Amino acid sequence: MTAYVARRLLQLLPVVLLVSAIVFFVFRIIPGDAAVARLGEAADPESVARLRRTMGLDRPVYVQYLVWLGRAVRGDLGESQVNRQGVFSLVIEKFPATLELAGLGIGLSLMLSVPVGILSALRRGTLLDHFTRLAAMIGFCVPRYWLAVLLILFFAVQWRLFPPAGHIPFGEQPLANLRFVALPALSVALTLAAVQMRFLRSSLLDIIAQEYIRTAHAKGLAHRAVVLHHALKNALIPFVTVVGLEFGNLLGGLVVVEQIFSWPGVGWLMVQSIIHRDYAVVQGAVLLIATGFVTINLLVDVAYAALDPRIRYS
Amino acid sequence: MARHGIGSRITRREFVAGAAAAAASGSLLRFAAPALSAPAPAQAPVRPSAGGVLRTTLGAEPTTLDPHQSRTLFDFDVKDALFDGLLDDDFTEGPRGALAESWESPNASTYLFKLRRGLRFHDGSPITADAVKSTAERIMGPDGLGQTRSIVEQVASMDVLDPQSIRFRLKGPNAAFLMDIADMKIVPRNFDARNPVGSGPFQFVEWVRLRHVRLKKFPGYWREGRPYLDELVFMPTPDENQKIVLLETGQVEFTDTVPLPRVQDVERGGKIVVHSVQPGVSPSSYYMLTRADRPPLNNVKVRQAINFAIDRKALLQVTFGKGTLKSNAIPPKHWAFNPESVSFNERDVNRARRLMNEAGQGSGFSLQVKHLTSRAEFFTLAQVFQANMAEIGIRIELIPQEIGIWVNQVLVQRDFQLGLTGIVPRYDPDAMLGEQFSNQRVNGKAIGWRHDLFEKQLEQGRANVSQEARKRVYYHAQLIAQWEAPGFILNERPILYGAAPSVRGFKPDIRQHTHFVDVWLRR
Amino acid sequence: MNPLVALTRDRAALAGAVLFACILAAAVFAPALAPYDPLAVRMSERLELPTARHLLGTDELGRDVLSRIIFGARASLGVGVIAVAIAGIAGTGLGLMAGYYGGFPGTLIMRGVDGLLAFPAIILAMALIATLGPSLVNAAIAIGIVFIPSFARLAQASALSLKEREFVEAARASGATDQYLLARVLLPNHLSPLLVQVSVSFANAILTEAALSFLGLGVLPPTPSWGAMLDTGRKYLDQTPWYSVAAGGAIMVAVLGLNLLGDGLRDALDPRLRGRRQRMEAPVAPREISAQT
Repeated sequence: MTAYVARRLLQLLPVVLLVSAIVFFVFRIIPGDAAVARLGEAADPESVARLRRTMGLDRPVYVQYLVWLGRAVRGDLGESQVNRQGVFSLVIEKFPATLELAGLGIGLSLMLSVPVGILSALRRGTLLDHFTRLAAMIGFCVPRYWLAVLLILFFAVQWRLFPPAGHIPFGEQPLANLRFVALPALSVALTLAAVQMRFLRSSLLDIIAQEYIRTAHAKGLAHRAVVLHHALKNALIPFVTVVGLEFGNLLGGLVVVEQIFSWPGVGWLMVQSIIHRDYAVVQGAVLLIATGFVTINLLVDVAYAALDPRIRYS
Repeated sequence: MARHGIGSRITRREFVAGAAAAAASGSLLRFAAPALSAPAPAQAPVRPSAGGVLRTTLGAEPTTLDPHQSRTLFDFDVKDALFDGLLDDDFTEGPRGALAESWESPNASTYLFKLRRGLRFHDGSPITADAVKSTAERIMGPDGLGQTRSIVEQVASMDVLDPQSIRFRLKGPNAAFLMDIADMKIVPRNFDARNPVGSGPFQFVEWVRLRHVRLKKFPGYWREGRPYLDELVFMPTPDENQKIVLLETGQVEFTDTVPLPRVQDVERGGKIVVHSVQPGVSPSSYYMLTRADRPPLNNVKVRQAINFAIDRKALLQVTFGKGTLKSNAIPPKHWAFNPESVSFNERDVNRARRLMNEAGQGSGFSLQVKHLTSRAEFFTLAQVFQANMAEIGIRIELIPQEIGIWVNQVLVQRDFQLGLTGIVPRYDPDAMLGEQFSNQRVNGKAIGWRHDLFEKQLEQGRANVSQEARKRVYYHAQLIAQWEAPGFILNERPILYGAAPSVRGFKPDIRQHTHFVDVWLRR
Repeated sequence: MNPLVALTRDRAALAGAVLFACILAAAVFAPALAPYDPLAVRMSERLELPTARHLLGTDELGRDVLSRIIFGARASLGVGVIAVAIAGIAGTGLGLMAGYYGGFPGTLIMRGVDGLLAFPAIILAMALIATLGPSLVNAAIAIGIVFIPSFARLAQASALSLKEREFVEAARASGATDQYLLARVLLPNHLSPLLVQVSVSFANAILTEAALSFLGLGVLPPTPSWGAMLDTGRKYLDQTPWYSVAAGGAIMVAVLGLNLLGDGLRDALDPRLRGRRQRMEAPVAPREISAQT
C-alpha cells in the first residue's frame, strides 16, 4: 500500500512542475506590458522602463521562471500588481467563498442524486425511471450559466425571493450569506446531480444484474434487499471517486458562475486578474488550484486503492 | 435649431437669435453656467443633520491613495474626499478657494495665492506655503505621474513670500492655470501613501484590499460644520448590476453609477433616486480618435464623411436617452460654444457618400476600431458605428480591448486606425479642445493631426485673460476643429449616480468627481 | 447486431440525431432559414418582446433574435469541428504512441497530458486566447488544446489493451513496422471509443465556446454567437428575457442532441452491451464532468 502511495506521490511532482511551467510561460507570451498596465495613460517611457526593472521584466524569460519557481516553493507567490497584496494571501482570502459554493453545491447535489439514483435503479423501466433519466440527461446538457440566468430570471427578477448577485461573508451575516449563495449553489447542484444520477444508476444496475443473476439461482426473491444492499456498497466506491473528482474540478472551474453572481471566489479572482493583466495573481492561483486538484486526485486514487486491492498493482 | 454649415449663408433671423444667445450667456459672470443637476424631487428645505455612515460603491479597486499617482476615476473619488488643493476643482460657478482664501494674477504668467489661517493637515501639522512648495517638488520627483506632472511642469519658479503666501511664475502664459492648480492636492512633506495624510474633509482609517476603503470625518476641516457624515466607506464593485443590488438591499447608500439599461426601471421603482448632470453642460464625451496622418484617414473629406455618416440619434438610444447629442468638443451650453461651426448631430448619409466619392474612396475600404470594455455600452456604441459605416462602404472590424492594452496600443504605440474611448477634460475650452486635438498632448499626439493655426489659437487662448477675447479665439479654433474632424465626438457620456432617498445634499459634478463634503443623511 | 441497426432502434439516439440535424441544418441553410439579416441594425425596434414580426424579439441593436440564433449555429459548429479535429488528431496520436511505446517517452507524454488536465480548463482557454487574440479560430484552437487530454487518455488506454492482443503480436511477428501497427492496426480498432469521444467532446466544445463568448473572449461582434448573446441578454433581463433564454436554449439543444447521439453510439458500438437492454456508463474522464463551468 505504501509503495502505491509513494509511487503516486512521485508522479505528482513532475505534473505540478509541468503545470507551473505552462502557467508561467503562457502568461508571459500574452501581449500587453504589465508595467504599462499599471502606469497607464500618459506614462512617460522613463517611468515605464524603471517599473519594468523593478518588476524584473527585463531579464530573460527562463530566468524569470526559475526565480518565480524558487520563490513559489518557499511560499512566496509574489504580489498583486493591482494592490500590492501578497498573491498567496489573496487566494487564501477568496478561497472560502469558492469552498462554500463547491461544498454546498456538492452537498445539495448528493441530497438529490443519491435517493433519486437509487430509486431509479430499483424501479427500472417505470415512468419514474424514464422521467428521472430524462431529467438527468437535460441536467447534464444544460449549460450551467444558462441555468444560472434562468434561476436569476425567476427567483430574483420576477419573484424577488433571492438577490441576483452578491456576497456577504458567512461570519458577518449568516442569514444574508445563505440568501446570496442559494441561487449559485442551486445552479451548481442541479448540474452536478445530473451527472451523479446517471453514474449511480448505471453502476447500480450493472452490479445488480450480475448479483441478481448469480443469487437468483441460489436463493429466492426475498433476498433482493440483501442484493441491493451489497450492490450499493460496491457502487459507492466508484461513485465516491466521481464525486471527489467533481470537487477537485469545482475548485478551479466555477469561473463563469462566480462571474454571473459576482461571487468573490478564486475563479472570480482569476478572471478579474486576467482582465487587469495582474498575471502574478493568475499564476499563483492556478498553481495552487492545480496542486489542489492533483492532490485531491491522489487522495481519491489512494482511497480507491485502499478499498479495492486490485488497483494497487496496476 | 437651425443647422449652420460652413459656406451656408446665415439668415438675418438666425444671426439675431444667435447674437442674443451669445449676449445672454456673455452677460453672466466668468465661468458661470446654468443649473447643473436635473431637478431633484421636491423636498421641503430641511436643516442638514450631522452624523451617520455613508457607504458607496466604487467602479474598481483604487490603484493608489497617493494623489499624485492617481490615474483612474476610482482613484479620484477617494482622492477628493481625502485631499484638498488651493482651489476647489469645480469651476462651473467660477473659481472658488479651498485652501487658498484669495489669489491674484497680474498677468497670465504670474499667480499669487494666499492661504487661509489656521489650516491643519489630518495629523495636526500646519499647512503653510512651504507645504505647497514641497508638494510641487514632490510631483516633479520620482513620485509624480504624468498627469500631475503636467500641472507643475509649466511652473518656472515658486517663491514662498511668507508662511501664508506663495507665488508661481509660469514658463509661459496660461489663462487656465487656476483650473490646473486646483487639481494639485496638497500633502505634507513626509507624505506616506500607506497612511495618507491630507487636508480634505475626511481622513484615512483603513484600506482592506478588494473589500473597502474607510474614511472618517476630519473634525479640524476648514469649512465650518463640514463634513456632515461621520464615516465614508468606499466598496469596490466592478459589476454594474451588483451596485444596484447593493443599493436596493440597503448594503450601500450610494452608487457611483447606474447601469444604463436599468435606469428607467430604477427611476420608476421609486426606491432609488437617480442623480444626473443636466445634459449639454458636461465636458464628458464618448470620443473616437483617428490615425489622421495615414491614408485613408489623412483625407479630410473621408473624416467628414465618417462623421456625417454617424447616426448620433441611434447612439443616444444606446444610452437610453441619457446624455445628449454632441459632435463638438465644447458642450452646447458652454460659453465658448460656437454654434456656427460644423455640426454633425444630424446624420447625412447622402452627403457622406458624396464626400467619399469626392475623396476618391467611392469603392470603400476597411478600418479597425479598437474600443474599451470598461463600460458595457462601448460594445453597443461600436456596433452601431459599424452598421452606420457599412452604409457608406466602410467595413469595420471591432477589437475590444481592456484599458491597459488600449492605452498602450493606441496612445503609446499609435498602433491603431480608430480608437473609441470616454473622455472627461477639464471645463476650460483650452482643455476640451487641446486634450482632444492638440498634437502637444496625449490624444492629439496619437492622432497625428498637425494644424499650426489651431495650435496658435490655443496658445492665444491660454495667454489671454479676458473671456471675450478668449471666446473669439476659441470660436475660430472650433471652426477649424469641426471642419477638420481629426477626432469624432459621439455624444455626451452620461454621468449618473444612484442614491437612497435618505441621502441629501449631493450635487453631481460635471467632471464626474464625486464630492461628499456637503452630503448628509436624513434619519 | 449490426451497430447501425442497433442505433436506429435506439429512440433516444434517434432523437439526438434529429436535434443535431436541426442544428446542422440551421448552420448550413442559415441564409434561407433566417427571416432577417442577423446584422441589420434597427435602433427604433430595440429590445422588443416576441411579436409576430420577431418571433423571439429583438436585441439591443434592434436585430432579430431568431435570425441571430440561427446564424449562431455556424459559430458553434465551426468551433466544435475545429476544436475536435485538433484535440482528436493530436490527442489520439499522442495517446496511441504513449500507450504503444510505453517506457520513458510514454510516461513523459502522459505526464504532460496530466499537467494539461490539472490546469483549470477555462483559465487555460482564456490565457491562450489572451495570447492569440479573440476570434472564432483562436477560440477553437484554444479549446482544441484544452481537450487534448481526453483523447490522449482514451487512446493510451486503447493502445495498452490492444498491444497485448494476439493479432497485434502476430502482425509484429510477421515484420510489421511500428508505424504500420499504429496506423493500420491500433487506430482502426480504436475507432469505436474514438467516435463516442468525438460526439461528447463536440458537445463540450460548444459549451466551452459559449462560456468563452460569455466572458467576452470568443467571436467578435457583430458575428452572432450563442454564448455572447446569453451574456449580453443578462443586462436586459428586465426588458426582454427571451434574448438570454433563447440563446441558452439553442446551446442546450445542440449539446443534448450530441450527448444523446454519443450515448447511443456508445451502446451500439460496445460489444459487451449488444443484446442488453440497459445503458452503461463508460468511466468518464474528469474533463467531461468539468466541461461545465
